[in-house]
Amino acid sequence: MQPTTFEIVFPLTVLAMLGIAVPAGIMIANQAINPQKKGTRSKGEPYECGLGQTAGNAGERYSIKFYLVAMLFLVFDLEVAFLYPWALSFLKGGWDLLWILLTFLVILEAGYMYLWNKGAFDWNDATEK
Amino acid sequence: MSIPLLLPDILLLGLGVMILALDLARVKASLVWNVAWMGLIAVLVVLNLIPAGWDRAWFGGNWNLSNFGLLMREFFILSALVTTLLARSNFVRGEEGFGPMRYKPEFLAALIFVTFGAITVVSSKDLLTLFVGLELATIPLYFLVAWNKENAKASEAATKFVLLGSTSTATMLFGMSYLYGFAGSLRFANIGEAVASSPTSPLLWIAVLFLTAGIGFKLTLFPFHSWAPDVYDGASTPITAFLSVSSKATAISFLIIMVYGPLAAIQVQLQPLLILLSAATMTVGNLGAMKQTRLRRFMAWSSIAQAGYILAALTGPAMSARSSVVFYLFTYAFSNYLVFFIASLVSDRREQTFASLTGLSRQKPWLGAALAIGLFSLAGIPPVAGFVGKFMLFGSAAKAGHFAFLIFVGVNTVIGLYCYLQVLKAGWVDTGEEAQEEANKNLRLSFTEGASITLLTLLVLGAGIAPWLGNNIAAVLQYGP
Repeated sequence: MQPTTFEIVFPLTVLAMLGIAVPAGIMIANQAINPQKKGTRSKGEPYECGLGQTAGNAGERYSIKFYLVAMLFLVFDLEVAFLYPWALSFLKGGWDLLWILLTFLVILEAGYMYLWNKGAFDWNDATEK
Repeated sequence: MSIPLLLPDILLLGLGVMILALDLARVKASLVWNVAWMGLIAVLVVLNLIPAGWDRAWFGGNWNLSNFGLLMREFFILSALVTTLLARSNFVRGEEGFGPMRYKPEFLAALIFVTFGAITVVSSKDLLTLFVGLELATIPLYFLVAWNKENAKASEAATKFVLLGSTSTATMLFGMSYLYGFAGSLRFANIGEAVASSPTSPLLWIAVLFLTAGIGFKLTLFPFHSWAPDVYDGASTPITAFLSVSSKATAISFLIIMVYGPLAAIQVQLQPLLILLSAATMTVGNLGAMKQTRLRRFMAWSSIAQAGYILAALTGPAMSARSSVVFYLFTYAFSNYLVFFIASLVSDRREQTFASLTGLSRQKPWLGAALAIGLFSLAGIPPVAGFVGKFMLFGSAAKAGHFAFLIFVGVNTVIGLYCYLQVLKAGWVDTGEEAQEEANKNLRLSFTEGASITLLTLLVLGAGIAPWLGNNIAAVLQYGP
C-alpha cells in the first residue's frame, strides 16, 4: 500500500514545528524565570578545548596533554575493537573464550594501572598534590 | 605438560613486566638494575636446560619451538644481557658530555620487550606472528634511540628511524599481502606448497620483491641502508650496539625463516637477487666506512658491510646457511659488543671519535689489545673467531657454486680490513692528541666494564680457537630446522 502524501508530509511538519517550538519555548521560559542583562563578552564566544581563541593566528601553543589523550584513546579504542568480535562469538565458544578474553583484558589493564600510577591521567601537573 | 618448554619466553616477558612494576613500587634504582641483569641470566639458565630436538607448536600452531629458534633465543637473550651491562655507564655517568640518562626501568623493560619481539619472529610459522614479532622488535627501538632528551641529534635520528621504518613496514606488509593473495593462506606450510606448485607466478615474485625491500631496511641492505649512519650516530652507545647486533639478527632470522621455509622451492631462483644485494651491500658498507671519523658512524657502515657478508650465506643450502649464520652472529655479537664497550669507555665527557682512542695501547695496553682482537675479529683475521665465522659463511655460499661472487667477497673483505685498520691505527699508532692521550691515561673502568671486556675478549679468542661453539650449534641443528 503506497503511503499518501499526507502520511509523508504530516510527520515532517510536526517535526519541524517541534524543532522550532521546543528550543524557543525553553529559551523564553529561561528568560522569564531568570532575566539576564547583557552578559559578558566571553560567554558569547564558541568554546573549544585547549584553544585560547577560536579566530586569529592558528600557531598558538596548546597543551601536550591533548596528544597524550589521543595516543591513549587510540590504544584503548583498539582494545574495545577487539572486544566486538569476541562478543559476537562468545556464546558459541564456551568458558575457554572467557578466560582468554580475561587474560587479554588483564594485560591491558596492567598497562592502564601503570599509566595511572605514572600520572599520565593527571590533567594538571603535580601542583594538585 | 609442555609449559616448561615455554618457560624462558614466559619468564622473559614476566621480567619486563616486573621491572616496570618494581619501578611503580618506587624501589631503589640499583635493585631494578640487579633484577634486570640477574633476571636475564636466570632466563638464560632456564633456556639452556631445554634439550634440543623439539619442533612443536602451541596456541593452535601460532607459537613454535624449533632448534633454530632455541639457538636464536640464546643469542637474543645474551645480546640483551650484554646491552644491559653496556648501558650501565650511560645511566651512571652519561656519555659525550650529556648527563646521566634517566628512566632506567623503562629503558631496560623496552630492551626486554624488543628481545621478546625477536623471539616471536623465530617462533613463528605464519605471516601474522612473524609480522607482530617484527613490529614488537622494531617499535621500542624507535624511542630507545631518542632516549636522551637533551641530545638533539638523537631526536633527529629517531625521527629518521621512525619515518623510514614505518615506510619499510608498509612495503613489507604489501609484500605479505601479495604472498597471502598468491597462496591463499598465512601459514608457511600452505604458502610453501603454493610456491612449489607455481614458482614462476608474477604475483609471487612481486611479493618477494616487496618483502625483500621491507626487510632490507632492518638488515641495512644496499638501497635501504641510508638510515643506518645517522641513526647509529645519534643513538647512545648501548642502543647503537643493540641495533647493530640484535636488530640485524632479527632481520636475518626473518630471511632465513622465509627463504628456507615457505620460499624454499624458489631458493635457487632467489640466489641472483641475494647475490646482487649482498655484493652491493658489502661494497657500499666498506666504501662508506673509509672516510668516517666518528666511532659510532664507522660502526654503522661496518655493520652494513657485515650484513652483506651474512646475506651471502643465504645463497647456500639450508643446513649450512643456518649453522653458519648462527655461528657468525655469535662471533659478530662478541666482537661488536667488545668494540662498543671500548668506544663507550673513551667517550666520558669527550666526543666519541677515532681521536679519542689515541694512545690507548700505550696507556692501557690490555684495552688496546682487546680493541685489536675485536677489530681483527670483525675483519676476519685468523685465529680469532671472526675468521672462522666468515669462513663458515663463505663456505655456505661456496656450496652454491657462485665462485666469481666469492672472489668479489674476498676483495671486499680486504677493503673492510683497511677500514678496521684505520681504527686500530688510531688506537695503536697515532700520536699528537695530547689531551686525548691524557684522558685515556686516566681511564677508570668499573667492575662491570672490566669484567665484560675481559669476558668478551676471551670469548672472541676462544670461539675461534676452540671448537665448542661451532660444535654445539651443529649438534643442535642436526635435529632439524
